[in-house]
Amino acid sequence: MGSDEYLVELKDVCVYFTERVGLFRKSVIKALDHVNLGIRENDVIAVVGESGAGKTTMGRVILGLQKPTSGLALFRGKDIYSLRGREFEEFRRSVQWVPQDPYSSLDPSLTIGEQLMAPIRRWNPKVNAEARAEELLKLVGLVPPSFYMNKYPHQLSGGQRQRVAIARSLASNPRLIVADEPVTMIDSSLRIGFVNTFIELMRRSSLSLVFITHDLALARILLLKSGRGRIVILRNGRIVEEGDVNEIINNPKDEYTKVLINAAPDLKRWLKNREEGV
Amino acid sequence: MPLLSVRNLNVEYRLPDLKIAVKALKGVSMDVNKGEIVSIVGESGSGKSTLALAIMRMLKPPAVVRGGSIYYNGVDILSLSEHEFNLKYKWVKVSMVPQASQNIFNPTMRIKDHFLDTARAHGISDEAEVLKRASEVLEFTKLDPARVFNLYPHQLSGGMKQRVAIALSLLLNPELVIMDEPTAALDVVTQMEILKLVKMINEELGTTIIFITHDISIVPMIASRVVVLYNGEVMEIGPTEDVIVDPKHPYTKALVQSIPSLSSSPEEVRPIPGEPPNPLEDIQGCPFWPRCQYAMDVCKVEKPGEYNVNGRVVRCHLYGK
Repeated sequence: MGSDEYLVELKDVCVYFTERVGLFRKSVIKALDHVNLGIRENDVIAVVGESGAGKTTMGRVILGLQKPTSGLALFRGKDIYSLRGREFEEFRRSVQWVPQDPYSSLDPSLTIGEQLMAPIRRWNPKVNAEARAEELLKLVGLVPPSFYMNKYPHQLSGGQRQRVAIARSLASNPRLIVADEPVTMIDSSLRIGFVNTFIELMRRSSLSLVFITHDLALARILLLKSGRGRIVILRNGRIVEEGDVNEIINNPKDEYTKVLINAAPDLKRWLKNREEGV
Repeated sequence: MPLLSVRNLNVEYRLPDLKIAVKALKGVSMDVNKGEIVSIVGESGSGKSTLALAIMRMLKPPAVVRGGSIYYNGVDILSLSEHEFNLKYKWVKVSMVPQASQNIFNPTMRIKDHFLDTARAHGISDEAEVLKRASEVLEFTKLDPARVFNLYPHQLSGGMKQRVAIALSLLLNPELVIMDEPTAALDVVTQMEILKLVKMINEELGTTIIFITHDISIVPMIASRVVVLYNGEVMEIGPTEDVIVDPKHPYTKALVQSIPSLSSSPEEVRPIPGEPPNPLEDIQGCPFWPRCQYAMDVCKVEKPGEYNVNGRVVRCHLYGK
């Protein structure tokens, strides 16, 4: 099978959905079409594309939630979908998820402390769950943690809830986090704070990040601040461009990448055009 | 005379269980001139949607207007009876594209019926006439009426739903349309298309537009003037160019700095310090002082007045005296 050079590797992955059109006809939607992607330890990958490009499907394949129609999704060289018992547990512990919508991803009937302590106990019964939960809240910038432990999700703002979701994804001490549009529901002025939080988390421990977004400028700042990693541009289920973020933004090869760059709201470009009278 | 003039508007959400009243709007004054696109910018909880709903008279308990006026062409629409407002103003002169338009449709009704339903609510029962008008507005929003009419909401993409919501707001040919975060849940490519559509509505139909957003980076693409709201208060009002090139209020400055561009260096993008204000806490003085690097003693006790700085409204003590 694959090498274990990669933490997670997608090899020629296709995900096709068949949809019924009318009574007898079927149409095939190619959500992912021959995708290859290698995620190393301490890697940062920003996945950018418009709605329907296959970003979330790609995230779900990496998380072991969507079996490829063909091709392989590997965890340390082994097919994720053939893992059983201990091996699957190890995969599940190592690869975690931050979902998009913090208004629906937290359990409304549990306090913040309870939502964090449950997975901590599940993965690491020996530690003091309460102390660890408070530590996780501190890591994601919710201080003082004691203020949040007994609160319910509805008592927090959208941004605070998303921080809780990030803290929860850390409960199993994962090696890789797939963050699926983690800031899309967050005010644009608060997004940079989340980027800083992810950078800080990666600085503190060996953690890889797949950051799915349609905010190209934010993806760029994330990659520049982390000083490593690359950007992947997805379109219609295919990777159309992959590589160094500045190189791709300054010199896009693919037509679609150009469309994305031109559509991105950009105050600095607007100021520059204005000075040049464009 | 401005088309719409909001004067010293105060709105509270009363929460009797908690024995408190949350002040959502505190003395907001702003004007909208005929034919312009004005943008209202602010973070979540700054009162943007409350302001929109107050203008539409769609605030529901526990929200109550606690003072102030809203003049439409000189008429105080808050003093009209509900019946008169609904008959003469609502949707006829002022309509709205509500927030999260993806979810405003009735999932059991075809798109066609949403138009008929809206017209019926305003006493128009001639179906043929309504559908003719609906076709016009759908075509204007670049949708094919023959196709879209018979679809159910779930069969439309997010961008298409946004177009239908905009078409619905134009059905009765209003003078003013309030669009509440019309691009919030869309990707950048679709967002660009919707912004172009909004500009086209303004230019070709002459419709005046209030464009509400949390993202100041899209404002220059759309609006000629901008109103910056923070914690239910106006911070700054002025021409978009001036406000973005040279923000006067420290909050506007911090807001502009918090949003990355494709060419920003990592150091120049900075989060606004501190936490967004908790609406349950009443902040003495200027609402921004706990996060403001220029805060002086006076800011903590006294609300800044409205200062005129080069033709701009700025509510900040830095510009006093």
